[in-house]
Amino acid sequence: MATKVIMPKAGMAMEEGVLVAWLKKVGDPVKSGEAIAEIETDKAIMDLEAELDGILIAIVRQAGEHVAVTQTIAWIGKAGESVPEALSSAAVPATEGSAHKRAQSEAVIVAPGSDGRLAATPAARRLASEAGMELASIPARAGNPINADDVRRHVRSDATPLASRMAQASGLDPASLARGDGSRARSADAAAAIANAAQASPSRPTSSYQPPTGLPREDRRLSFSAIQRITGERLSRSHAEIPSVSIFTVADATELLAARERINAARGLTSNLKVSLNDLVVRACAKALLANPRANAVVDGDGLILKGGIHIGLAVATDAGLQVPTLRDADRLSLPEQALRSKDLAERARARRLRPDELEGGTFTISNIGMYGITSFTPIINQPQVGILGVGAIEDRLVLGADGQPVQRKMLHLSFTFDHRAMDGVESAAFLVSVKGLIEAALILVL
Amino acid sequence: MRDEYDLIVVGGGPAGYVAALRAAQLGASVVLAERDVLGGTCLNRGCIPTKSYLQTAEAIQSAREWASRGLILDSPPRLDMKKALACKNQAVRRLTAGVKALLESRKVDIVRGNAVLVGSGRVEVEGSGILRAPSVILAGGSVSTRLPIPGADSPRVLLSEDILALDRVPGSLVVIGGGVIGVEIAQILSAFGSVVTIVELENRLLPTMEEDLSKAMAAALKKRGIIVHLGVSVRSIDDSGAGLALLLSDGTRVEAELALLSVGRRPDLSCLGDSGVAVERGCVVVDDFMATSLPGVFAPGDLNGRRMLAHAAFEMGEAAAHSALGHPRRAELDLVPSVVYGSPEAASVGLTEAEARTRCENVSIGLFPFAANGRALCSGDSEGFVKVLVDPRFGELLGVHIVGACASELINEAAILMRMEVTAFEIAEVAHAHPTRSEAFMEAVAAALGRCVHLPARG
Repeated sequence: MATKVIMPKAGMAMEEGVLVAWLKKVGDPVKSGEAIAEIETDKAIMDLEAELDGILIAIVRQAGEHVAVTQTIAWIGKAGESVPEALSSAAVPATEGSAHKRAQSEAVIVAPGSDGRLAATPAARRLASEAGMELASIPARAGNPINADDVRRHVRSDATPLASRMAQASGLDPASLARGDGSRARSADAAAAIANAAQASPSRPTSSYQPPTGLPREDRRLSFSAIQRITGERLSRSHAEIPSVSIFTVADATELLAARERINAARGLTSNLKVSLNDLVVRACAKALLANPRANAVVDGDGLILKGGIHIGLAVATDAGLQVPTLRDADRLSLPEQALRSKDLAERARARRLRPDELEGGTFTISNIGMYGITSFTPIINQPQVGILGVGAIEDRLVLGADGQPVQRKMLHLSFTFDHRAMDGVESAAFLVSVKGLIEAALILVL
Repeated sequence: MRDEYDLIVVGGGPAGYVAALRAAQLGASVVLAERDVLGGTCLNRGCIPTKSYLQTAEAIQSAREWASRGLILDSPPRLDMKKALACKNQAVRRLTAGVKALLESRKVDIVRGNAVLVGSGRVEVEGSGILRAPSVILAGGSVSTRLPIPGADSPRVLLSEDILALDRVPGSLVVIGGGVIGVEIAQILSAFGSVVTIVELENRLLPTMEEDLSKAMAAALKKRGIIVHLGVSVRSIDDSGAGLALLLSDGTRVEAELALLSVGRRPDLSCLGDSGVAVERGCVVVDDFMATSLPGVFAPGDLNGRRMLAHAAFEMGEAAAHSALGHPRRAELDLVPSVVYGSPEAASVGLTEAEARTRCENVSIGLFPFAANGRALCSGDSEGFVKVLVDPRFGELLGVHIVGACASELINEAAILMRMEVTAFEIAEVAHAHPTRSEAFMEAVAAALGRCVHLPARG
């Protein structure tokens, strides 16, 4: 009996995943525990492992498809075995009549997955089901999964179904077709609106404007990756919901940088792993959080949970978007251990090889773009956390020394953005001053 | 009766009487001139009388199948043509009387006599003098076309109106012209016992309809014993013998007692007089609002030659009434269904496959045979199919073509949905009562989307 391979639910929040690549072909033998595909969750790319020995007898969802969790993506069975027919439900568009063979290839109206499921966001599925509509009846924008907005537009459309579909395929809101007299907009209205929009479109110059020759620069559309989509939704929500305030300071990192050089010189005798400035800032931050528990908290309805552990999210830029792996128990790690783990997390984040649990459970986040010369910025809080530390550039400054003579110091820019509901200004200042103090008292960090 | 009205309507057929009724509903004082019997070709010489006979023909055909259902008839049914004629005439009388009652209930004055337009706003009615109104609707209808074939003027070469008045069944009949009228009358007389031969100039029956319907219809007629000659014309008709002898262009000789000339209809322009209303190729020129070249003169129905169908005339008549009273309305003729009655019936709405392919880059076709429909199988009549044409871009239903029993009823669902611009995606989701023939339409739509569950998987 063939066994199905499903899109796993790899995290509490996971509702769908993207099949990145198949590592096995139909007919390949697979062993239990062997990676057969790569899947991308909202947070990471991971290997999908076979749960039994056998032959990969069918692949029902293709690389690049969005698949809801628990949906069948392949079948494993014995050699010569076939997929139970009733379950394969291959929705190949079938047209009837030998005279109309040609129509068969043309019958692809919507692009259902090969198990008949359409690409749609979970919210779209829920809304459609509440409205008693089939997903297939909802027009999606070309190349995109059906989303909640598509469903809403379709539900309260003042246009005929045909006009509605025509408008959406051209990126117009069917509601914009509405006639003044309250009657339903028809396909002719949609065609006119599409023609108008095409005329008004900046990508189609009017005859009076001649674009420079030799520079073909057309608009290109990039689809968000799964990570970018989820991150985007979270950032928007955070930005909309949190009354955030940012405060700024500069810390004198001259001593710390000197200490780092000595540490790395000494470590260089035994290890290639260098301690980065960021490692030291993370360390200072972890110790400051210990002393300022309100900054190491999560918002929980009408209260705060002061978290027992200090787990710091490290924002890492990757090709697929922002990733924030969690450095667990950052306050309890030795400096070498901390540096090793941070480097490993960052590297695997960039290679998108993090496990889902490595992306969860953060209590605070640090974002560092100082290496690009940015002095100050105000990152967005990673909900439900209450604060995020922005690490900026180091600037050489002349300051007055103890003897009244100007001396050159290396000044590190820091910002702290916090949820004003969870902390007030004094508390936030106390925390940032702690970080600054720990950085300036350089050797404390290695203790 | 007065001599000044808001509107004069010439002709009491489907275009004229509907225009008069609608105008009266809108509050106009209306006079309608009719030279013959109210109801026009449709009620008196076309749609209605043929339907009465087709019902009789169907009864004869179904009686042939009774034995297989265990119903034993001691002797085969025989037709009393005089009674069939009387039955038909009674239906016609009731309906024409109904039209008269409707017009009277709306206070439309009816004037009998030949009516001719004598200038803007003036119509002369034979025996009643001149009627005046700011607007005139000409609904003069059409007459059967005669062809200049040598011998076609023989009294044994009948037009459709003549054959519907026969009180006996000819032993054999040649139908010249395999269009809608020819196919219907061929089926009637074949069932009544005539040996029927159809001669059609084009290489298929019903040349204006979807080609698949033509093929299915030809096959069905041949199965019922009707002889079909396609792609040939009639060279000459010789009535010097006991019967008629027709010489066809391919050299074939066909003999028959009578011939029916059903090669089409042409507008009856006699109501135009010398008024100067513009005419092109024998048809009155009108715009979508039914306005002619003369201000205040409108011409709905067969007179303009746009669609020679009673229900198209209803639509044009209503549009003309609105336009004539200063509320211009377009006649929507794109989605007017066309139907051929009989067993089987053929019905179409929208584009044919050939038309659809010139309009759309891709056309998705859904086909559902009645042989896979439970209701059709139980009825013993599972001939035919539903064919739908869908534009895969948005699921727009481009055309629906049905051949089989009840096609004339099924086509209306398609016409409604197409007019409302409901797409294939929505239609495929509508629950249809089971078992009904209507399910076949929904299944064909689903097939066009590649998701018909009641057909075996393909490819």
